[in-house]
Amino acid sequence: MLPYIDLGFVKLSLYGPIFLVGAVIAIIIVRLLAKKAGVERSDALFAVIYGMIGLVIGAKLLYFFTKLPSIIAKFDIYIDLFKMDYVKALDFAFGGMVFYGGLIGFALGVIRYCKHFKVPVWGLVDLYTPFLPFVHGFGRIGCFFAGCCYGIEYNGPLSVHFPYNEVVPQLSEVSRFPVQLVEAGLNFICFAVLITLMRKELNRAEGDRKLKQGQLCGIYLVYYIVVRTLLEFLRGDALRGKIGFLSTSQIISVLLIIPAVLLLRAKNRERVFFVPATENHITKTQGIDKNK
Amino acid sequence: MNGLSIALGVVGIVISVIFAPLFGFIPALIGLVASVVAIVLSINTKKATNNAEGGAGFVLGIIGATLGVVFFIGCLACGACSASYGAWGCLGGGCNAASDIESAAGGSLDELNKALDSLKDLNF
Repeated sequence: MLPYIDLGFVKLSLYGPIFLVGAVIAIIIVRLLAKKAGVERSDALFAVIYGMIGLVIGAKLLYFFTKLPSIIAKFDIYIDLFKMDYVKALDFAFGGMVFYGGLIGFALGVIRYCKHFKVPVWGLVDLYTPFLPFVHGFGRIGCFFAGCCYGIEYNGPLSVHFPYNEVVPQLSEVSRFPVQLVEAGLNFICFAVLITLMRKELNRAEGDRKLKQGQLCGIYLVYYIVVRTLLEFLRGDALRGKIGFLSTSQIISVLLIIPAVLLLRAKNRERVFFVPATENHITKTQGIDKNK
Repeated sequence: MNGLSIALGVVGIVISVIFAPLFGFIPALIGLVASVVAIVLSINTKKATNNAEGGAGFVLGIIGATLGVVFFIGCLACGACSASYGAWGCLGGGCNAASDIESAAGGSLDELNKALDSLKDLNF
């Protein structure tokens, strides 16, 4: 729709700022809820930063893996392209991002932070989970503006005819299904459900909570596996990679079924937002001032 | 570690703001990486000193990373700025490099586009 805004000295791609707006709003709300969820506010912020680094690396790497078969198949042409214009060659190999790579990268970044600084992982996982579809929704709106991740040819109600996009010229050839906006809408609905569940649990006493650690994440994963698998059939951008009749994302969705089930099962896990008893926690709750 | 994070934060901002508009997305990427390292080092400093130190490196790193992302994505989207073209960059109210490349390159630009199209047409 509007891939970039020309500011005169630079063309500002809209995808990044839209994604950033969603991320900043999410980080602000996460920090506000952190204390109630038993997480230090500084940990809530720093772990997100580690997660965002992992997100970019993971999303770019998975995109590269979807392009790798093409590059290997026509390696001599790719080398010629690299010699003529390495910018375009690098853009071909790394110019996009894949959500699942970003999700896995984000999770690994957060886990790395927790292991390094000995912070409980589950508290952060449960705190962040509702905001994953929230930020992703903003990302899909960015996709709509950028013209990427577009839908199949479609001429029915709510079809969209994109203007000519020099980066994706085939986008404007036909009217298309607004799959980016549909996925964004579904993500925001998922966010509303998860944040409602989260707030209900936070307002209950620890012993009365019904969910266990990781189950919020399991609910989100199940939702996304189903939605993404179905929406992939409405995607028109074949360049993102296929193996047989399944797209890369559908295959990853299948692989994530087992982790989703394990998260939902929550065997041997504490109640959600469980705060482990530490010396500081005990002395504070008992009103003991160790400095006296 | 605190000093290094501040230094890298400054380096990231300088490279992103000055060198990226002149020379394209590679300096923007370098500035972005320097800023990210500054952020990570400042977080380590903050955790080690219970938030007493590391604030400056953290803020500088965030600013550098934001600017790096803006110029990296902007220059990559424009596509005309690359080290091989020299110092045209994006300054001066619009990038002149794209039209100049097209008129000067002529046939070799067609070859470039054919190579890119043959890669894009591949499905598996």
